[in-house]
Amino acid sequence: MVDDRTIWRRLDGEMPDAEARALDAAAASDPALGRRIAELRGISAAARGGVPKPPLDFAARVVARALTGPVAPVFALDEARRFLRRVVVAAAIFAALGLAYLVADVLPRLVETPAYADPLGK
Amino acid sequence: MSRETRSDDKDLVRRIREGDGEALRLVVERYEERIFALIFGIVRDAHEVEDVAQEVFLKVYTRIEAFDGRSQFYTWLYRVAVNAAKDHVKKRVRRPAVALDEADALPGPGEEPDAGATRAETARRVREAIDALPVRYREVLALRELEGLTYDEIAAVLRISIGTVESRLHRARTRLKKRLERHGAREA
Repeated sequence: MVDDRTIWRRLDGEMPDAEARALDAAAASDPALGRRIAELRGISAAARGGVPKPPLDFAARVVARALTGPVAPVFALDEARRFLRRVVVAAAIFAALGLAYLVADVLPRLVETPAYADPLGK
Repeated sequence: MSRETRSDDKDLVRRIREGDGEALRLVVERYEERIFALIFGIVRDAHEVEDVAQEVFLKVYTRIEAFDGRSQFYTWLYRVAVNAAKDHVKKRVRRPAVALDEADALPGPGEEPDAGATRAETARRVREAIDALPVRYREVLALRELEGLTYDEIAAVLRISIGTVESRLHRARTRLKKRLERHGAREA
């Protein structure tokens, strides 16, 4: 029994010649296998349908946009987003480090009783 | 991809790096049909393909420095197109997918009108089944069926192993086949 994966390898041209010839010969003598191959070939052909064609002036319009049109905004927006993301991440890291510093170093000193805190000297 | 095309690509890339708009036009004309097909294979909406394709070629022009020349130019171009199409799918508000399927309904030369209708029906079902696939399956399917790339080339574009290419293709097609069988069984 030939599995679908093997048939797909044949249809995709990914099978060594000798193996492909053997499968073709088997399909020629086995109508059921031949039908399965035809079915998968049909799926493959149908998957190639519905593709739109570029308009005739597509290249001209791309070049016009590239040379004079609003190329920058599209990519500037991407860049700006990326920059903003980096700034936010950097700010978050600084904030976290600052907080850690406060918790580890400044806060303990604040809660320590200063020498002048007790006016009675107790 | 022929050796001549590859060497032409090198020259065009060099000229684009120098800001040559004519070189960009030649690249667009050389690849526009393939890029439209590839983007459609992932985005699955014919009306959205042109905008994404424009974005891809503009990116080629503005980001050509990102192409380091270690791979073939078309490999890089396809990768840019796949990424742009995937980004588009992530960002868009979901609409029902639309394909240009009028041609599918027409009978072929010497074909009975009924045969044309059956073929159109199969094509419609396959298309619906592809629309329902996850993007990671649609991208390998598009590169194989619409671009005709080998497993090796698909692996290079997507930066995955050949084994992953083969297994994703197999899973995608198994899903298509099962879905078609389910439809067939329901109507029988």
